[in-house]
Amino acid sequence: MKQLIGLYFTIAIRNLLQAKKRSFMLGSAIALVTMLHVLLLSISNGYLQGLVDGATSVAAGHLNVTGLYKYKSTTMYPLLKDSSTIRDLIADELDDVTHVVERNSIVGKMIGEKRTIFLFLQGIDLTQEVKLTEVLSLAKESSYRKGGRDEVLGSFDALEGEGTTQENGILLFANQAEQLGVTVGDSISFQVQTLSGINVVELRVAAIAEDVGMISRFFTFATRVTVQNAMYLGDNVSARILVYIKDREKAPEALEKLRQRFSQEGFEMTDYESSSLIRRWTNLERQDWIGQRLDLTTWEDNISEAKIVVNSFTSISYVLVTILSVIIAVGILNTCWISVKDRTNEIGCIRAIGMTSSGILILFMLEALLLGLFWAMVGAGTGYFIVQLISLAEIPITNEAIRIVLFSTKLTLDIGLGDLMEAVLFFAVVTAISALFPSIRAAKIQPIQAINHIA
Amino acid sequence: MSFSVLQLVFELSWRSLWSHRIKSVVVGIIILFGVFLLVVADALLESANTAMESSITSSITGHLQVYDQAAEDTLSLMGIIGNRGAKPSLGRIANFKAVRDVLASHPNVSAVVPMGADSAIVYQGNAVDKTLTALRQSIKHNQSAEKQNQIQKLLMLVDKLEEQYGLTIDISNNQEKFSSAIEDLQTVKTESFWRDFEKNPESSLQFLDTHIAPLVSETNPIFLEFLATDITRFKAAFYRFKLVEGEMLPEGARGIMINHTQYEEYLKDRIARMFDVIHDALHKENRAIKTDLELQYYIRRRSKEYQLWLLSLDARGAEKMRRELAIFIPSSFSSSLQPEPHSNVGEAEDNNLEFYLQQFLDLNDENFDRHYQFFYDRIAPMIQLYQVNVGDLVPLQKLGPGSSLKAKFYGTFQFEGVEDSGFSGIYNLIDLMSFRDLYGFMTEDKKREMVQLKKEFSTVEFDRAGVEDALFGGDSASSIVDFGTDDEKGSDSDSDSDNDSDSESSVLVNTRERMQVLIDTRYTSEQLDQGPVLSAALVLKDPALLKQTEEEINQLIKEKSLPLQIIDWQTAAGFVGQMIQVMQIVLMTFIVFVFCISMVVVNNAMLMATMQRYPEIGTLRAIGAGRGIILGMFFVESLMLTLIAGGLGALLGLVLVQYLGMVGIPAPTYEFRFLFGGEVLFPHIDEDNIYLGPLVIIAVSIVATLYPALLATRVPPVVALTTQE
Repeated sequence: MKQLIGLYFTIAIRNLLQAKKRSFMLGSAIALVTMLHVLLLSISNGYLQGLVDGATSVAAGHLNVTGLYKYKSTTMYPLLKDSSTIRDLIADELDDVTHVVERNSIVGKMIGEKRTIFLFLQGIDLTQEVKLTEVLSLAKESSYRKGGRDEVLGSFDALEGEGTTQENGILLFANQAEQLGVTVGDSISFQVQTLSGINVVELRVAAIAEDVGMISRFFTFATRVTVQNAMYLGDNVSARILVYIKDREKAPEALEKLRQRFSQEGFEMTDYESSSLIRRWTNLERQDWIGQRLDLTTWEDNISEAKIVVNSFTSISYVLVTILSVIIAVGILNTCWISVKDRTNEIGCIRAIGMTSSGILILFMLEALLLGLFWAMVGAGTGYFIVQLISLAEIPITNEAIRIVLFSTKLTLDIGLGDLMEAVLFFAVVTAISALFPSIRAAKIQPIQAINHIA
Repeated sequence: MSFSVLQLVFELSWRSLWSHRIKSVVVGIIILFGVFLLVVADALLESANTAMESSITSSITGHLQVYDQAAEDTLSLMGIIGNRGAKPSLGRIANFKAVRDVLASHPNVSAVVPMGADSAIVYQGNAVDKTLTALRQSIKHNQSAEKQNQIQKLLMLVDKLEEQYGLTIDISNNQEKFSSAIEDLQTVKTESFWRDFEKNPESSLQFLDTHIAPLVSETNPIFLEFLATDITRFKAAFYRFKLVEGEMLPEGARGIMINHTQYEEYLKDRIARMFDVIHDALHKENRAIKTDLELQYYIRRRSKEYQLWLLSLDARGAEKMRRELAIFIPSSFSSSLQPEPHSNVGEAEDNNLEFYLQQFLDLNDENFDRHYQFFYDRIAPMIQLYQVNVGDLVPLQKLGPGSSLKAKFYGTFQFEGVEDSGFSGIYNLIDLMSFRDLYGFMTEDKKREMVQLKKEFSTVEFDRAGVEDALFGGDSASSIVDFGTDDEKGSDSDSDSDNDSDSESSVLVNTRERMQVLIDTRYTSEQLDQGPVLSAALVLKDPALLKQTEEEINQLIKEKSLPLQIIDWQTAAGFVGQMIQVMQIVLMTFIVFVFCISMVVVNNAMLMATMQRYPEIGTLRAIGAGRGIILGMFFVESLMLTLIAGGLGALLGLVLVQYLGMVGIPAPTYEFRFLFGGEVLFPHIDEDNIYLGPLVIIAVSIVATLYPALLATRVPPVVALTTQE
């Protein structure tokens, strides 16, 4: 049996090598389409990657328990009382929690020298925020200020102020600093709506971090105490608990467990919906309840709107690749057909010396499969190479529209081995299947007819 | 070549095509498909482009925009979204009149319209204030029934406030402040308070004014994007502008007009809006609640939002609504659904009302039309259907530092023919004078009135009670809404002197008499032109000459040394304009790829076919056909094939586009509305589309098939005769 398989392979490969010109042309088409597919896939992967990274470190965690507090029936704030009870429950209910982070949150107007912009200020506890400090790196002054020094100013620790003085430090991102026209050490006003009127806080820019994609347009950080004071909150009040687990793909199950547990313990919760809180905010605000409710989301829920972009993009690229595959399939079909006709004598000979008709079928299909496999690998390899090149080059996106759609400031491409193998396999199979009909036709040729056949 | 030879070639070609049918069909189909795709995609993109252009240029930007040369940012008229929540730094055009005179002199310019864009917040007004005003009125006019009604309403508000502060104190770090608030609220609920009230209403009212009314914090503010312009001139220049409700802003008057789409989508009661949306879905879009998950979801969420109704109704109104609903909704209650007993009679009524409301809002295909009718007949008149009403004086506040003012809401408008969603739905209109006040420019009005104010009020304490007394005596109009608490005064971090002048002008434009003066004032064109604006839109007579006109005007600007820069509508449309370019690039890449692959396949097929015909070629050569004829034959063959296939493809594409042009392509998501210039895209074919694309494809196809043909001519006759295959 093994010998037979070896024989088939040998014949198939020899045939392919003989018809070089023909296989080269079609082959390059196959390679081109595979490469295109790989590139398109890498764009959507890169997009998703950037989104997920931002969503799971800067903005939120794998699981998010947000406290929603309506102190009157038409206004809602992200506030959480009893956070320690909730943290205990989480620790008790889930067993693969790597760490837990607690934050405060408020949206307000940041009033700078140059401009006023809306920002989400997150109150953080630096000792807890493991992931955030990993993801963020501080920026050189020259990157956000014309003629600025080529050194990094400020530090994360400066957020908390020197010694015992409460200095209300803030961490901005480079693009925000540029927009506002400030640098480390400057003062800036932050106007917020609190439960008892408007409050304006003076903040001092303690550090400026490099941008991490579009999310760094809207978020900024200060200590929890700063935010609590700005909102006249007691120091036991937070807004959100970010839970990080070992395998983030298991987030939905963990969410379900938490929901049940919270419900048992008597906590009221919002109806679960797989979309970000921002999207549901107005509706929740107008609903007929007051007091405290918990809202639970997974990291996937939080990026579900952004995913629409990926989905559209993926659909478009599938359409493109399908069209191209069809065209190639037609080409291969045609080529195989003619090839079968040309090789009628040859087939007759082989049949005459003992090969079965199913053997012929296998032979032709194998030829097509190997052709497709080889050239698809060439295409995938080229695609991979290009992806690496582009990733290294860190090409910035200047077109505003693309930035908003891709939710990123740099062109990010990402492709994994699994995707590559899938692509190669797919096109190899397409090639093989296109050769099916001609192969069947070849298999049906009677040996005696074939030998007598004069083309 | 002589005619007979040509004829021969043609016959040979035709016969070849026919005898090698399969190959012809295969290649033909690929070419047909390629052309079809190109024609359709090109038409769609072109149509979207035109739709967007029309939508943008005829509703906001005009064809060209000029603005301050020294501006730090590029002008982008896409509202706050386009500027990422920040206000762009655009400098100003100080002397619009000079600019207008120069630019209007260009022969292709039909109108120069001044513009500025900014956002404002509308705060809703203080419910306690309104109640106190009504209460005062009822006392003044001796209407005891009305007085009781208002007192009931006040008590309900106090209850709500108590609840609210109870929840606030729970999480706050300022226990003192909130404890005293709760104390005050509890005082109002005591019998002794109301006994005192009967004896001396005024002092009790004072207490309510100074201790209770300030406890009401702002309800959900409305964000409005405004395009400031000379509205009369705007209407004349942007021909699609159409009045919908209310009246046109009088020429030279101050005031605002609201975009009808926004009016319906955002300023209308959210449940009323739900009824409208479902009504359209059922009757215009032929959807059904039963089968449409999206509709079910929407109803489920929106129908919980009846809170505002409950808050805005007083005891009498609530009872009336409850009774009406009780009659309307068939009674099918089991005894287990009786409401729980409550200590407070008012609450029990509410509870029942809530129950009926929940029943009423449980909509399905069968009951929807009945409920829709009932809503508009009986419920709508009882609730606040729109957050602002035509004719209202709307209080506007700035984002960022700046003043606040009130403007009269004259009416709503739409841009006809261009679907009113997407781009043309972004802006509301405000007059230039109000804009200048809002934006912080010093105007002649302001200067004059500040001088007068300084004369009248040499010493005045700017707290609410003091000023109200000073200006109106005991009969204060509730129009003074945003004096602001002490907190708010400190909010705008400009220098002290600015702060003073701002609060002065706040006082100024919020006093009733002065308000009336401002409303009645009519400004002449000169006065409007004399102040600063942020940009100007140029509407062209012949848009096709846009590029040329842009250059010529640039020249003009340089010649006259005007400190301006000029951009086209696409740049002015911000990232949306760029989106079109992106789509074009994406499409072109798409087409190029399909192209390349197709050509490879076609080439391959032709090559193989040609190789098969060596004997045939050889024979022809042997009987005397020259190389030229062979080439000609192959050439004509490919030409015929590509022409037929290409022609068919183009025809099919045309048919499809025509069909879509009648039926329309609905925008799949909200974002697509911008690209489609509305909710539906009706594609059409331009002459260019139909000829250019297919021609290119045909040309390339021929080239692709020519190479094999050339090969064919190289075949010497003898090879053909001796080939065994």
